[in-house]
Formats: sequence, structure tokens, C-alpha cells
Amino acid sequence: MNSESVDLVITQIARTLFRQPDLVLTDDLTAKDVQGWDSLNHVNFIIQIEEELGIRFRNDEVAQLVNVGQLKKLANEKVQNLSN
Amino acid sequence: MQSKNGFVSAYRFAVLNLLALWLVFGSTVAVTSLGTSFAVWAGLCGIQKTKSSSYSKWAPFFGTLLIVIVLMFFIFYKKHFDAVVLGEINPSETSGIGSMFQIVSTISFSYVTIRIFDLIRGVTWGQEKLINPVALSGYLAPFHMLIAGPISSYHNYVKMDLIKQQSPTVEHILRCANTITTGLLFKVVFAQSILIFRFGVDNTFEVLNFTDACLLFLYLYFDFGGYSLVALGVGRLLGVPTPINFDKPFLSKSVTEFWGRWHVSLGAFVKNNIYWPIQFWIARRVKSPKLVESLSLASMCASFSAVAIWHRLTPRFFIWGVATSVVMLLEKYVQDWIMSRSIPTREFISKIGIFFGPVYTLTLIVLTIWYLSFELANI
Repeated sequence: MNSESVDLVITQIARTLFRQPDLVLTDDLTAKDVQGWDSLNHVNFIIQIEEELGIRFRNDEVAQLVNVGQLKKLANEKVQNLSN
Repeated sequence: MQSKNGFVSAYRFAVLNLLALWLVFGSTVAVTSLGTSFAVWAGLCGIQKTKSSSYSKWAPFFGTLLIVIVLMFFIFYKKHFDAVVLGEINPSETSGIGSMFQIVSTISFSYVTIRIFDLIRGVTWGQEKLINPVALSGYLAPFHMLIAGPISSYHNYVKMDLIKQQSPTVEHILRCANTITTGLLFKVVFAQSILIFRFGVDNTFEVLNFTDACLLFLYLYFDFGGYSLVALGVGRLLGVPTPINFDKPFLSKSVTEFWGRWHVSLGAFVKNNIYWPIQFWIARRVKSPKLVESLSLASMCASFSAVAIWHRLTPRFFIWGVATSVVMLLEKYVQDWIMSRSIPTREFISKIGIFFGPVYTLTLIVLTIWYLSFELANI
């Protein structure tokens, strides 16, 4: 799976979870910028990404994420590690 | 490598920090912070060696054991500390372990405990490297965050050594000076004015009505917020990671949002170390989203109970923690209902929420301040 596919998966999950069909996940987007993206939905968001991409985030990795760009980068790295 | 303003690494800051502690707070504080650092470092050395050995599977057990040891020490320390603050124990008459508790109270051990937990988690379950005990003392007991935080993360502290250091610019120094002076204005002028004119110089915090509770709330904001701004300005001047502690809490449209804007650094610690670990554990095992949401009450209760007893080890604070969790869960259900509406409806609710949200939130928060006011003296 290439990085564009991974980004698309993440975007689709976010649009469904936060009920915003036109949501655009820019790299500097944070939870504060999206209505409904609270701590509980953040957990749901991460787990849905894990299930869709077949990867697993560590709790400390999740804690260090600052914006969507870092989330995408980390997800892509894990997907690449899986395929190697 | 990313460049930023600042001129100290973790080790150099730690040495400067020990000197500052000695000069400002006295030799006992400096020696206690260094001694605490060595003790924690020794325990974590063992855990690191276990991680890299054939017994690596035992590392989480030893990490948990170390947390339990620190937690037990903290609970007994807290009981002693609260008794001293509430006048039940005369500190000059303590001896033995009571004297030890008195000594660690000089380094604001409540805040040091939180940093120790973050450190243990990062080294045991995360990928953080363990720095030497002298450098570690700069993280555990930083002079500019010694009295009442903010609570920096270990992860950000060790990153100091990875970032290219540059000398501070004039603009940066002026910005830091502005932050410091704003903090002093808040604490020395605004907070002290409220204190003197309503509550008196002996800090009785006698809250007789809603107006008194509002004034106490304002006092807490200016006092704590002002101190936090001074710490922030000093930290930024030195290039030491120092988080913000207050992010315009009066704009909060819900209690949930409020606790993300008030004492931000403590909220971040609780979220990363208590709420998310429990909630991830639940969400990975329970498939029903509705049930996961309802069970989030457990993680919220655990989080706010921890915050409550960290402030005061009393039933009143514990009740406040549980009640706050229930309110936040109810707000979550309301938010779900709003999110299920059409986008125009959501936008309309969002617009009226800009005014009514803060009114609702601040009313509730002031009422909780009123409820806790009896035990807020010298918190």
C-alpha cells in the first residue's frame, strides 16, 4: 500500500467518524480544529486506522502525535515496515 | 536539525538548575532534588538493563513495581503534607519518616511524583533513553517550575540535546520578558488585590456565596496563571521545554473543554498516562462503539479521581473527581446528539454555543470551586 492510499484511508475514516464529508486533513491540522475530535474519538480514530491498515500504534507514539501530518507519517512508516 | 532559541543542553541546564536551586531555595532543596534524581535513576537503570537482557519480558513488571513504590510513598507523603497544611500536624514536631516527608516537600514532591511517573512510563514502556542522574535532576526539579509546575514531559526534555542550539535574539528575549512581566502582573497585582480586599492576607478563603466563589476562581486563575506565565517566560529564555498551563479557559463551551484549557500540563499528563491507556485497553476489546463510550466513564473516573487525590487526599475532592467525570460523559452524549444533526443545525448550535457555552461552563466550575473552597486553602 503506498502513502497516497494510506492517507486516503485515514481521510475516509476521519470523514466518517467526525461526520464531515468534506473534511480535508492537512498536515498541520490538529484535534482542536475539528468539531467532535475529543479524546474519546481520538481513541476511536486511532483504532479504526489500526484495523483498516493492519498496524498497531504504541501508546507513547500516540501521546507524541502533535498533528495529522505526524499521524500520516507514522502510519505510513508502520505500513512500509509491514510490507518489508 | 531544527534550530530554536536557547543556549543550554539538558546536562548544562541541570548544573545551572542545581546552582539556581541552591541560591534561591537553599542547599536542602538542591541536595534533595539531586538525591531524588539519583534514587529514581538507580531504579530505572535496573529496568533498562532488564529490557536489554534475556529477561526483557520482566521489564513491565519491574516498571509497575517501581510505580507502586513511588505511589505508596506519594500517598503517605500526601497524607502528611495535607495534615501539615490543614494544621493537624506541627512540622517542627515531626521526626523520622515525617522529617523525610518534610524534606521532600521542599521540592514540591507532588509535581516531582508526576514527572517520575512520566519518566518511568517513557523508559519502561516507551523508547525513551535514560539520561544521567545529574541531567535528570534538571527534569525532575527544575527551579523555574519547582513551586507549582507546569509539568513538562520527559520526552520533550531529552529532545533538548537533539536540537541545534542558537543564541537568543533580542526579539526572543523581549517576548520572554513580556511573558514574565505579564505573569507578574497577574500574580502580584491582580491576584493579590483579590486576596487582600476580599479574603484577607491570612488566606482564609471563606466563601459565603456565589460571588465569593467567583472571586476565588478569579484569584486562582490570576495566581496560578500568573506564576505559570513567569515559569513559561523563564523556560523559553533558557531554551528549556516549558509547557503552557492556561489556554484561555474562560472561552470554554463545556466542562470537557475547560479541563483541556485549565492546568493544561497536568491534563496532558493524565490523558497520556491514565485516560488513554485505559481507554485504548477498553476500545481494543469491546467492539460495540456505544458500550465503549459508556465505559469511557471508567477511564474518566480514574483520571479525575487521580487528579482529585493528587490535589487533596480527601473524600470531598474524590467526589468532585467522580462528579466531573459524570458531567463530561453527559456532555459527550449531548455532543453525539449534536453531531447527528444536519450540518446547518450543527453550525447554528455552534454559534449560540459561543455565548451560552461559557456561561454554562463557568457557572458549573464556580459551583465546584465553592464546593471545594473549604479545602482549597494553601493548595
